[in-house]
Amino acid sequence: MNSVLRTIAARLGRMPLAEDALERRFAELKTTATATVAPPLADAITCFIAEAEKNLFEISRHSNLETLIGYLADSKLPVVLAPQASVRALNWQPVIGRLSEDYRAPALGVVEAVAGIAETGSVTIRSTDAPSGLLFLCEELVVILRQERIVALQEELWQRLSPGGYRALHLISGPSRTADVEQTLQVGAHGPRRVHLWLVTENGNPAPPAP
Amino acid sequence: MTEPGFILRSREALADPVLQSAMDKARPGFVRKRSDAIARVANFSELRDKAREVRQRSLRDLDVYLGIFERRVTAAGGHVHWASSTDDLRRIVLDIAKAAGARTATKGKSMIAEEAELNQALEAAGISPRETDLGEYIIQLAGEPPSHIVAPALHKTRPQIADLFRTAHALGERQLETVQDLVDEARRVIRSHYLEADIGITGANILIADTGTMVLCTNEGNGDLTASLPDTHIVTTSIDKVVASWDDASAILRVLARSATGQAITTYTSFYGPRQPGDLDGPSHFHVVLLDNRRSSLLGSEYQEMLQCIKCGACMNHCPVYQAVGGHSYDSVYPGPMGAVLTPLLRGERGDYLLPHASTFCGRCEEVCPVRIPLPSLLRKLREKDVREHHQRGGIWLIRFYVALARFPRLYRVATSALSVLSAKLAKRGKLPRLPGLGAWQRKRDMAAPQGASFQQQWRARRKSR
Amino acid sequence: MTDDSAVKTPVVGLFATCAVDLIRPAVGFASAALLEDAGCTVTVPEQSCCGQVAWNNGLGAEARVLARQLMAQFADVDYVVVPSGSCASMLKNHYPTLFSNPQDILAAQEFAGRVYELTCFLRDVLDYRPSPAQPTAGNEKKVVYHDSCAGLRELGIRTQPRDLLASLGVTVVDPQDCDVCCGFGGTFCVKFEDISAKMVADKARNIAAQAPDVVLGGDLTCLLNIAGKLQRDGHDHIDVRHVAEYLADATQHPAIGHSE
Repeated sequence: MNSVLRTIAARLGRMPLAEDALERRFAELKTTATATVAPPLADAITCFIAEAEKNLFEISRHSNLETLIGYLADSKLPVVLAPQASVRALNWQPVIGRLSEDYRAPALGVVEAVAGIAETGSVTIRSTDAPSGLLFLCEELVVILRQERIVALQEELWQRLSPGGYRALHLISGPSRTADVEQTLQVGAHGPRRVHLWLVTENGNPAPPAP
Repeated sequence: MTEPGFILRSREALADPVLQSAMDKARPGFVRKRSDAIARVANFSELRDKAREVRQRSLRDLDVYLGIFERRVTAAGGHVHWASSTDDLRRIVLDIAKAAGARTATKGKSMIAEEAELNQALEAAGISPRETDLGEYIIQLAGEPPSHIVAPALHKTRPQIADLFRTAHALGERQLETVQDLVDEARRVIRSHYLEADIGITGANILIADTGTMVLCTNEGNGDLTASLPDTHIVTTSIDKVVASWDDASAILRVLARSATGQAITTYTSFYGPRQPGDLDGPSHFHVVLLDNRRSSLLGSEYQEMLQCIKCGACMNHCPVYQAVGGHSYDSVYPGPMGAVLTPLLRGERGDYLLPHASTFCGRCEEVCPVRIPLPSLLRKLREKDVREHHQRGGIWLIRFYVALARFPRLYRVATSALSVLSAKLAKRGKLPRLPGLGAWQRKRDMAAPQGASFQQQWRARRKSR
Repeated sequence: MTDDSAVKTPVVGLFATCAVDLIRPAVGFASAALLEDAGCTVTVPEQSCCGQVAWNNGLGAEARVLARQLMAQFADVDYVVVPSGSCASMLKNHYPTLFSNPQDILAAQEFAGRVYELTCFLRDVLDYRPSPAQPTAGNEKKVVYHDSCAGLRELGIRTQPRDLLASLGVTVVDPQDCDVCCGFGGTFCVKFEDISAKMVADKARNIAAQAPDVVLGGDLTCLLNIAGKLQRDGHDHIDVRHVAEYLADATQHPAIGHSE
């Protein structure tokens, strides 16, 4: 038992707990959690798009993903695909010559988000969906998001996703930016300079639950 | 007798036109962005109440949450280290760095690392720390400490930054005219630092006990590049940051970015733990170093509420004293109202105890604090602590004399009225002439003369004459 | 006025505050006149200092002595009315926090329940409307109202003085950064002279930019600070007064820092 924890427990008027007693106490404390308090939202989809636009995502809406290939054909950068089955399964033949695995050199990354959060206009991607390096080193990013995967609040997302099994969960809300020079907003600080949100709206087909 | 450091530094700061111009430019933006952001949220007051409740609940059982946090991180393959003092923190980080054979380290912004003066220790050990947050990078080039906990280079103007880059990057004649030029240049240089770094050191905004997770909030993505690319990720943080659950973290996030920069959320809000088998990249080694440095002594004390702080910077953005003199006047990693409480409590040098006096108790800090810390009340308590511990300030004898007189109301009434009558006679066109002892006021403003006999005396006289 | 007050005239103990008592008694007389016009009986119990200067400078024990003294001095009145936001807040919000033993706390809470700042008492408790002595047409003065920090943030005073002035046909303007402290802060202006000077310089500049004829406020100490800076900067034509003087139509004597 380290001295810092012992000191803290002593300041709180008790002996530090260990092992089973600690787990039991934690389980007890978890039952005292209070309800979520969140800003009132109207329609989640409308709110998501409004917030995402404020976050400087470039948003386009599509009924399928085939149009993505056409869009990327015009890109000057090599295209790096996240190793997600849903992304790699598309017909990349028309741009096969431009595909690359090296996201450390300037590239355009393509990744599918597991969810969107309406209250903050954010997309969610885990380190098991795409390497974190791809999300942050690419010059540009295309993030595919199926509209059915948009939830209103962060807490809803925490309930849906299975915890653990990944190192990192990223909430990404637009391109990289800084205001460190004279408090002037400048996009493209270290991460991607542009993030294109490819919003897929499938009529009537709910998306499978997020893995 | 020399004047205290804060007085000297603040006088210098007030007379520094470059600093004043930088503060003038920064101030309206912070205030407006925050007020715009909270205007878009109908129930911001309730969000603050919830955030305060989460923080208070965390502190009440801090030992349990920290104990669980350690268990979860360890079970997931990471390491938790406990640093009682800043010496401990430096030693722990250096041991990890040496074991990793590190020669260079990228660094995300960490106030705890600043508090522990970690960069100096790394350099002394032959390890080169490379700051990645643009503001921290700027002050690293300038060899200066941060002046604000969210915007460390707030005090620097664009021309100053351009000069720093021109020299440090050996740019010769190439001009960096615009903000875009500067940011692109920083991106270019720091990109190579990310790719070369042997270890990455970040802070943490929140720690989540339930899953052994740390939360990192940036707009640049620098924290994520620091945390994700090297083979070792070290998190330098403090014992007070832990909350129970992801839901609790969301309650904090809802008020953090809005209060700091006026955003609903920072561009990159990432939840990190140790690497897992299914991960596609990431460090093999994940270390969290928890610093106490006297924070535990605030638990169970009248200052416990200060540990609720989520380091948003809103208090200093709204403090007229901070805005007048800038962060360096405080000579502390933590400036402004929260710094005026934390610095004497954590560091406790005699000069630090002057900071709580440098306030008019206007209350703007408490008004904007997202977790409702009663800052003016804590500052007042520290003034009492200062007097009690015999750090007597000059002039307190005058206050003691005045209050002693006030205990004899009749004598007080007669004496004060006599003084007022006398002063009124000295009046020239309604104002007092320059008088010894009144210099602090009269150097910069006129002082209106008393009207004559005191109100109480005149009231009694009128009653008697009826 | 309610039926109750027709049966019993409220007895108001006027706590003038040190600044009013020693420097500008006219504010005390104007306050008394307003309260009497509103139907109160006004008394001025023997008084000295409320203890705020001791409390704010770390002298807790001394503050407690003065607080007990003041509460005893004002024990027999229905209401304690104070023409100052900061002193009213000291009595109303801070007195209960001075003490640790339960009886003292209870006594302070009971006392605090009877304390009101002047404009709050007139508007919120008495629903008083001053009547203009003269028609306001042709008398269009531009008025700035300075909200002192303690009044604004600790007592929520903002609409009350404006409502009272509106009864006289006066609409006030707010300068830029009107909610930023003027830099007085009690002993702050002496201990941190240069910082205080900058704060009052900013405040005075923002007020002067409105080109007002009159500056009013509810705290005399702030007004002394602001008037002193305006006058040092040469803005002698701006009249600075306590709002009570204006509401009581008691502007026959010189404004702060002015002479006949």
